[in-house]
Amino acid sequence: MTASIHWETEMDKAIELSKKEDKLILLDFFNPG
Amino acid sequence: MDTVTYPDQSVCDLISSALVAVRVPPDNKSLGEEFDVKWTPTLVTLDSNGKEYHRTVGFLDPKELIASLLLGEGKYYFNNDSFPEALQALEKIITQYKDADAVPEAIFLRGVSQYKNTENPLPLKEAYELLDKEYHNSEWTKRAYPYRLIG
Repeated sequence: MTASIHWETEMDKAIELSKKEDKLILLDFFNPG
Repeated sequence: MDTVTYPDQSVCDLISSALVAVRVPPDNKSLGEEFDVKWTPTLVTLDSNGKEYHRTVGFLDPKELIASLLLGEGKYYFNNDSFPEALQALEKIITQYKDADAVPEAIFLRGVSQYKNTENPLPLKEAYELLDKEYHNSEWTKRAYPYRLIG
């Protein structure tokens, strides 16, 4: 089975999770093209 | 990154366990401007207050990405004076990802973290000696150059 990462799309949600789970945030600025 | 790096099991495990991962598409101009992003892929490591600790631009294979993410973690702890935690992340890069581009900076920061953790300056000299031996042309060897005089 292929591994997959759960990506957040909203910064506010990411900050909330980061505080709650005591984790750093990884921002991936990407270009799908 | 989507084809080679992100499907890698080790990458997936590290990101899932240690980070909140956010994808920012090109049409999100406000975040792009806020973080002054000029090219993709750009990866930025932040704390929950939005403070930046580490960034990379361009493709990274799985080994390079893991080492880079660990370096971001190490820099976060280092900058917050949590030296035992910083040393744990930096040691992992140095011992488990020996060929990664992040290793010279990790060796430099390990020496500084050990010094700040113990007030013993010898690890600074040891960092220089290891850098000079294994990564002679690295910018981090040049930055550690004054430490050769310690002791």
